[in-house]
Amino acid sequence: MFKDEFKNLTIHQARELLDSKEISSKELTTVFLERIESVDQLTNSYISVTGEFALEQAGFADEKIKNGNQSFLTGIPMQLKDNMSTKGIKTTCASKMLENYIPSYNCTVAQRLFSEGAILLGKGNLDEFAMGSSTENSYFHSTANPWDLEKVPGGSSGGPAAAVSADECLFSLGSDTGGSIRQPASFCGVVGMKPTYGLVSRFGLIAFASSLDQIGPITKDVQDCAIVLESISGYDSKDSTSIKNTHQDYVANLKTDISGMKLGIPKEYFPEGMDESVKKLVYQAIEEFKKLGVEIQEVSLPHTDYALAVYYIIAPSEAAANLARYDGVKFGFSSKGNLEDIFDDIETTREGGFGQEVQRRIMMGTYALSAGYYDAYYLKAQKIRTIIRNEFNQVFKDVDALITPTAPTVAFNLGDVIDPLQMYLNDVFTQPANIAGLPSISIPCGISEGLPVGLQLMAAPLNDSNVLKLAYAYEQSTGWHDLKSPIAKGI
Amino acid sequence: MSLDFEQVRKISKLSRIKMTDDQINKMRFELEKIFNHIDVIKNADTEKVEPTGHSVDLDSVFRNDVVENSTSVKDVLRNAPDTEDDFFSVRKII
Repeated sequence: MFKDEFKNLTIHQARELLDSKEISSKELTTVFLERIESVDQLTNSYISVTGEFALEQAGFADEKIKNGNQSFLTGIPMQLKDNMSTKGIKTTCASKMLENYIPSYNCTVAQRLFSEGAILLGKGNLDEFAMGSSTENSYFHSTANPWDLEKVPGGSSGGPAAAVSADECLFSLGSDTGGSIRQPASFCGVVGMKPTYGLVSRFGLIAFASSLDQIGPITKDVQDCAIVLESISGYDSKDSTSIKNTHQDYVANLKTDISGMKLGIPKEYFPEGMDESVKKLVYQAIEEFKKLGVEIQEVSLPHTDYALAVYYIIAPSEAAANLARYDGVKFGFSSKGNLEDIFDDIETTREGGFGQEVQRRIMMGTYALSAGYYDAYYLKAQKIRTIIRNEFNQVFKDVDALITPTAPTVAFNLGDVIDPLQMYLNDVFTQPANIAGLPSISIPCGISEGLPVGLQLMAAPLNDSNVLKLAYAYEQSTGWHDLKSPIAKGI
Repeated sequence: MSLDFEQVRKISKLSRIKMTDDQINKMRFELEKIFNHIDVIKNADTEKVEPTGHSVDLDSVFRNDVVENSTSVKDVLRNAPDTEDDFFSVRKII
């Protein structure tokens, strides 16, 4: 195998080469650092690259492997989205507010991955504070889609999805509040999973909307996704929403038979006027599942139409509360006002430190929570959240999982969507899973206009294993995940 | 729904974000458009429905009060815009 082919590996393939000593972690890490050096000027998927730290970690990983103490991710080079706190390494959330912020602790997922010996290549770009669907809201720079550099990679985990798609890391972690892992995975032709809410610790993930945020893997195939999920999931006493006793053998369960499983098609996810080519590809996938012995039935989730509105009340309300901490006093950007008054300082700091979309979301949330409007907006949205959750529970009595498109369209042009509401509509199929806390995955299901299309699978909470094994069986029978972006092919 | 200038000014005050009159007017237009869409929630019948705050049922988490090593003051203050000795420094408040 030539050295420059190492970048094409999946985690499970790299594991074999590392274990058989055909390659060292140091060599593998060097391949990726050189790859980032040559390709990232095209995709801009990284905010920072931590080369020195990576090579040092690789040295430790090689020791571990030499002593036979390795596990799945020992010596595997990865990227982390830049809203995950890394001790001593800048964590910016793609915001001017945190441009120079250096965390004094690791988030739990980073801690777990580092303990296992995974190698941090650098931090991935995102929409500022993970608010957006195109990664154009980053304070630093936008990211280009490796399939077509004129297109957005999706968002908010656009950096992680583009980096995986362009072979600039073996895997990355994203965070998903309303689709921020799955929609960019769909746009960039990679695998992205939002696990059950509470399965992966949020400790040290810079908070956006605490009842919706969830960290998950972005990988080249479903097997890698299961490997990463197995490493990062599990109870954490530092996160009070973390679920106990959740351990499942995601990797071992992956290859179990799916025939006889039941898949539901929720008709509300195929609305009139939706992109015909996306619809066609998802229906082709449904035919493929039939061939695999899966039973298909149409189901209905009548309150789906309310999900977007519910999301855009709950998420900004929680964001308004979470982002109140940025006052220019304890950390982050600080700017003095001209009134010699601390509140004027705080207002000036927040005007200068937050970008447009973040300011808009804080305003939306503040309004929805303000006296006189709380019952009409926030409380009402929480009640509809109950209805949406109950509808899912009901449907999951009849079917094991649901199949839908991940996003209504393929990737759009950079700069094309400037209206905030139009941008919000990108996440119409992904938000319900956050509202109900469901495990959900996006996997490639074909190409339209030269760009990847993703399908989404959702299951009842804690049925992450079912989502993964359905996705794996489909992937193995179709091979869509083997298609490489032009950047990965070196064109 | 409609929002007047003073309402948006008030929201910006509550949000502690300084805004010029032009920014207020732009924000007013954007918020109106978004909330006109959000207002579909009025059509949902939620009588006798309990609100959901979290998708998983949460229990209160308790732990023993044990003294552990905490983050070093130096590490924490490294990110502070202005400090004096081991303290954050701000303008006089009262």
